[in-house]
Amino acid sequence: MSAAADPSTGFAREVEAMILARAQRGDMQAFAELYRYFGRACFQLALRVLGHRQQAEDMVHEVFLKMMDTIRSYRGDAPFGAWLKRLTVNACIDQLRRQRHSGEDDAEAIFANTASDDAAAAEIVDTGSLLARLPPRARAVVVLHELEGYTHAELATLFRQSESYSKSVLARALKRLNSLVSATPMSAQVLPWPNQN
Amino acid sequence: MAEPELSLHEIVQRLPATETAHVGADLWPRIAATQLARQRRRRLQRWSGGGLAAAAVLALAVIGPAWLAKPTPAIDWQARAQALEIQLDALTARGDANSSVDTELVRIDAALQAAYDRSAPANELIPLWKQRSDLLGTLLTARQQQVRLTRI
Repeated sequence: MSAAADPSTGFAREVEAMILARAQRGDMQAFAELYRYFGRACFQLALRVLGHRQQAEDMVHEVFLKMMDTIRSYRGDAPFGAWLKRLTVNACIDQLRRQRHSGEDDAEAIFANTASDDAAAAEIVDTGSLLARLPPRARAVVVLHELEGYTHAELATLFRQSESYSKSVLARALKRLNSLVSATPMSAQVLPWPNQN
Repeated sequence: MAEPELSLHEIVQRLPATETAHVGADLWPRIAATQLARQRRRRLQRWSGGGLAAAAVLALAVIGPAWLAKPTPAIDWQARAQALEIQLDALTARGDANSSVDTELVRIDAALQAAYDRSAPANELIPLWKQRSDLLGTLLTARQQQVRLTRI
């Protein structure tokens, strides 16, 4: 599947069969080893999707506890990293659903209460602060589609919405990001483009 | 003329990279502590759940031993062992003791504890509970006979 383990996010690391077997028996040392392999990747992904450091740490906490509960059901059909990445994404989406605000089923309504581009652009200093200007659900769609390789069909399943919902949220989010970047004073300094640094 | 819309990758190239955020050093110790606490709580629930089942089995044993003797497809060996232990404790309090059997019980208990500590599956736990139950059943029968003889 398109969202399989990806070297850029650290989920691609292979895990020795012995460690997995020990983890499936509930061995805490093996779990510690899995955390050492994937804790950071899990945190980075949660941080990109949720946009808050504390929420991302809480998410890693939740995902690893869930992994300890369910690792016996891991059959090795996909790489362990891909399996853990899926757990992480599912947990992040569940978290967004728990924070659900009214009108989020409507792609247009998601962007209804966002700040004006000029006000928001002043706070943009890097990619993280740019993505932070998006509403939570739009940020999740952008990160999962553009950075993690999820398809619209997969996003539709995750969000329990239609594919056209996912496409519409993504299109609006990219439009807003373009608008923010062009309003950012920094974008005027970046010449020539693309950045060669 | 309007500028063409950029993809996220193109936008990202225009901005400084976000400084990598590192996960807190205390996160794994917190996760491990939560997991160990959950394991302890689950063990306790298993034991207390077994205690309730034991009380139910004991009540059934008093009301209708014949019903208990009927073969059942899935016997709760843990509950049965605990019910027998309660009966046995009542007899032991009257002064009966059997050190060799007690040693065997200690061995089985240690094996059970070790199995729970590593979250062993049910197919490993059930035979141990069955062994414990059988041993207690034998001991109970022997001690009941002793008690009767003493009374005569």
